[in-house]
Amino acid sequence: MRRYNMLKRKAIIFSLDAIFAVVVAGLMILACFLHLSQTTTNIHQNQDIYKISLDSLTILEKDRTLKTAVETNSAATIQSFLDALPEQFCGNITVRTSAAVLVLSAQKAGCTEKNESTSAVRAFTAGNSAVYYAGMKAWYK
Amino acid sequence: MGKAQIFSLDIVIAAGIFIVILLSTAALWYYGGEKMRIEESRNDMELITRNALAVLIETKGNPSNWTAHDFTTSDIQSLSLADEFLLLNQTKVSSLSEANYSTTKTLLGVLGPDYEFRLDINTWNGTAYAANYTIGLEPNASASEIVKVERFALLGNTWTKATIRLWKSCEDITC
Repeated sequence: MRRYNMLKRKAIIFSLDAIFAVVVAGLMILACFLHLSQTTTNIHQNQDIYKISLDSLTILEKDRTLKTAVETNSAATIQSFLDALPEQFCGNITVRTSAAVLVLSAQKAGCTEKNESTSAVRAFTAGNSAVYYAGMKAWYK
Repeated sequence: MGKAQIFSLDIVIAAGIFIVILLSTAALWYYGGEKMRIEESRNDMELITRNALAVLIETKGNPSNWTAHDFTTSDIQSLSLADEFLLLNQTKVSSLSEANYSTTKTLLGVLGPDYEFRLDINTWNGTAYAANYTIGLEPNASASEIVKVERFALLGNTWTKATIRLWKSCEDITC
């Protein structure tokens, strides 16, 4: 009698492969949503920071700040320029001789160097027409 | 004998699962398309902003003495604030700050739908960058997207920060 009652009950056949199929479909849809919802980083940001570096070195060279800094052995004006960079930017400027000997360096206050940075280099002359290389590394805060 | 209709529970479940997957896929399709559209629009604005500022501070313009010409799209092919790379010309800067906004927009290539721009030229006063010249319209409360780019140049041997903001004016609820 008990067995007869069990046979009378309704059942749902939901095989293991069907469960797998539903789970895989669900996971794929979820993965697509997660992938699409990820915020894409601004592809122009590295270009911006590189341009800022190049601009900085160019104007410091053209207004003779770099030349004066080498000749007076003072990076005070370069430091003022770096400190006035926009809030989100950090950077440092180093000046080396053609033999790669460090002459001057300055870094924006409140910044610590990061691995993800861009760098630009500009050559200029100072003193007895000696060639120096100014390098600027810049990164986002 | 009467006829019967078979509609078992497992078919209902199968149909339910199928519909859920179908709806999820449709939602995914819509979401992906919408995200793509927003990113493309943003990318367009980013490119226009950078190009406009680069043209202004890196080139001489065409003709290079455009301030001596009528400020029209037929007389001027390309605007500029510089005499050479990053060296700004005082006359060009003051002329552009007084020029017709609509013509300036056209000459700078700011031609997207409802795009407006604002250019600020701030010069170093010894301790900070002070506002000196402004060109264009300040973003208003209806601005839906703002792209901001900053570059440095020299104006009369003074450090100058040029900031351009391209923004999208959005008046209706579809933005």
